[in-house]
Amino acid sequence: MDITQQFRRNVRTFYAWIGSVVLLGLSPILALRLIENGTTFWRVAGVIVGAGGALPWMWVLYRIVRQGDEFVRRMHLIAIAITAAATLVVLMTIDWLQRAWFIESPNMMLIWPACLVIWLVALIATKRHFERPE
Amino acid sequence: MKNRIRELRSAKGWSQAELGARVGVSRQAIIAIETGRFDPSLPLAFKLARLFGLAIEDLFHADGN
Repeated sequence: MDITQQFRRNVRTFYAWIGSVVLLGLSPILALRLIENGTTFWRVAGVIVGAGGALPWMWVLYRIVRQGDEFVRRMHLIAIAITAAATLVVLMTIDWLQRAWFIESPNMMLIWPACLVIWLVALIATKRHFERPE
Repeated sequence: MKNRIRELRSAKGWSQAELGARVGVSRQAIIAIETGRFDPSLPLAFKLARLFGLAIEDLFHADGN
């Protein structure tokens, strides 16, 4: 692949990323509105829109990782492993805090964005680890 | 794992991006390999060694050797 093709592919990926992030941000708002309608049909539609809004973003992320070289893949692999472990610890802690009556039942609407933040922090930390000077 | 990539790249007058393009990886990958933070796969190590006209063991060596 020559440099022009690569540049075009990167530009397309960038716009796809922006578009998917916008969808990721808008889908919960739209899903909540659909669910508020109350009927089974609109509630099902709300679940599909709410959960499905993340799929384009996941697809673009998958494409980015696939297009990347072995270094990019390693970075993402480590970041995902850290995210999985950290998310498990967070969920277990919340569960035990709830079981011990320290907190009320948590709002899932706060937990899954927190998982995204954990992933982002893990990715930045991994990148910094690999790129820090000797 | 230590390596001589920075030294050999400088001798050739290549930038990190240029070396990356020659072996099909990003500049970030070359930076991470040069600092020893990232050990390349065997195919990439072979590509690098071939590019510099060396055997892998002349390009990479274990820490302390």
